[in-house]
Amino acid sequence: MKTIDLIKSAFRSINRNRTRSLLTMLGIIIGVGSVIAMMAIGRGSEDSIKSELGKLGTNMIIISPGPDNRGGVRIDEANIDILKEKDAAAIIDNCPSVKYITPVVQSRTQVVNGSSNTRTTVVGAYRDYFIINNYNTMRGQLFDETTGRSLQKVCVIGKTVADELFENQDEVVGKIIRLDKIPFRIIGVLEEKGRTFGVDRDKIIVAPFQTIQKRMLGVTYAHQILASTDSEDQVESAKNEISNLFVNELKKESGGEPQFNIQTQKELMEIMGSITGVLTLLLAAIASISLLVGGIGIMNIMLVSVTERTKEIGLRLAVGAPARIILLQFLIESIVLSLIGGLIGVVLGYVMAEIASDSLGIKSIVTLNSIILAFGFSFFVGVVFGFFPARKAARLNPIQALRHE
Amino acid sequence: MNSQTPVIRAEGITRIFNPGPNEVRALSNINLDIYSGEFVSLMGSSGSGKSTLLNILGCLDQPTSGRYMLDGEDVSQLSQSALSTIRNRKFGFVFQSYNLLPKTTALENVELPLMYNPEISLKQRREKAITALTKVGLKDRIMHKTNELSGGQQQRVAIARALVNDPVVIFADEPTGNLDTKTSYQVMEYFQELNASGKLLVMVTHEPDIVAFTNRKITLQDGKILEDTPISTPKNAKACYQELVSNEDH
Repeated sequence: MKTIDLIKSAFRSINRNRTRSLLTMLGIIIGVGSVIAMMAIGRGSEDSIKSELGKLGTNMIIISPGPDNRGGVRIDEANIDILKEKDAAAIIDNCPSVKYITPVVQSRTQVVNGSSNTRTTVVGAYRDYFIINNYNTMRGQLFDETTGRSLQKVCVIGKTVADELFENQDEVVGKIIRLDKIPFRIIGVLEEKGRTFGVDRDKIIVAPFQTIQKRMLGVTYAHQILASTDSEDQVESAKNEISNLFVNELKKESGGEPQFNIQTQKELMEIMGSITGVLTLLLAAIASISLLVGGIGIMNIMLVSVTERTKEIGLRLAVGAPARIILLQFLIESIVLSLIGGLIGVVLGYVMAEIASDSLGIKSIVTLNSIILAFGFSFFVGVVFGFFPARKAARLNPIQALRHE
Repeated sequence: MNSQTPVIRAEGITRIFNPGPNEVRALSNINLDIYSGEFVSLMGSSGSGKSTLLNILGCLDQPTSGRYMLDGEDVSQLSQSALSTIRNRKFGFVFQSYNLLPKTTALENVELPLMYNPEISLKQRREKAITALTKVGLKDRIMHKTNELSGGQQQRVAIARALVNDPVVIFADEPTGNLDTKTSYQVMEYFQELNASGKLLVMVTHEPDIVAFTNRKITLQDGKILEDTPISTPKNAKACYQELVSNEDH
């Protein structure tokens, strides 16, 4: 029997019982559809998390003090005095991959302008802070190194802070506001950055590091050191350079293991990526259960079909059909059935993913991989669940099959 | 009675179902020679073993013991797939209930045996099927679905299917069992024509008036050959059919 005959006969028999075939396919349609939709949604959220993180700057390296125990008492991270301003200088001098660096101190403070006030984060940092975090000024200017060294009380404010404290945005630059009762002159307003993971990145005030450290907080250490490289490829080597430097330098000083963490933005992205990856896998696994159920449906209906067509099988055997061709005929029928189901399922999955992103606001991306995977799986289902009924057909005795009523 | 080698030679064929204490001896020690050009009818009451013999001769079943020589070749020990090839190339089958594929055209039904012969191309297949359908007078019905045909036409499609592969032997299992007398005579007319063109026919039937159209009558009883007689002057089916039609007209 020629392949074309086998495929033709499969389509004919599917067409003969149209309603039944469609109902049988439904399991595969729903299975493939939901696998594709789930993978699209999983992939979409992974993508949107990555792009949120990307907004923070992909080249960023965060050096923060690790957990510290003093006499058995765990110390609050904000009070650990391991990181010093000179460490930042040491990093930029000794680590060739690091291009930008700033120590950071921060505090939540009440900010007052006349009768309006708000509570916001005040960051003390070098000018590099703006480059590392992709901040640009909308109005006015940024401070530089000398303003810090001379402990000038100037600051750059975020868009949200400006909106909350001032009615007329044109007059903001040059105004004096009070941070914790200390007057600061506003020299610039930052461009709007929007929200990342629900945190308003415009609700911030940045002032020179030394000013905040000495005048406002009265401490000798930094809370964090932020570093950045020119390109993403250098992040890993920069991290290693910093790590080596800290181990050598700080070991000398304290005589023990230094307590600090170096984390890159890339690592954070990878962690988030693996979380969403696991979620996607889980969703797809749940969806694939319906593919399995669909496969059982196909096996069921193929067994019915073999019983119904016993006489036809008997005739085919009598006129000389080899058993393996009979097996192939029913196997191809079940494969065609599940592939048509798979094809409709791909369309359904695509539509479902589109609806999800349109009406639920979830980003969804249908990847070619998920289509190939789902389609391949439906082929596999057709082979596996079609084999048993097909073998049953091929093993029929022609005389008994011909007598079957 | 004939000096040439027989097409079918059965040597001590025995067929036992359910071997053991409750065994059924359907055939015991059948010896039979059938020569080319014969038109044999197998008679017998139900349970006499005539269908079992037909199945074994048609290579649908194998004897428990004994030898079956087909065209001088021992086929009693062949594998299932070898037997299906023999059925496909050398035999044609006509059944009582026609056994056509439902909702399929007459042409496709006739093409069926050729589908399982990889040596025949799609084009040859079509040509042979059309020729066979023309022989049974259904040239204008080739594209009709089987459910659109009458009983007699369906059996003619089945006959066309049986002769499409140009078989050595045509086996028929009660081919007229579902047909009225007139249509039965018509079917016999085609069988006699095939026989006249040199085909060997073996037919199971229990209707004496149908046996009269054949040229050898073998009667079985309890798995043994009771009687094997040649019919020297078989009735002419065509004449009988025309007589029947003209009687109806009056």
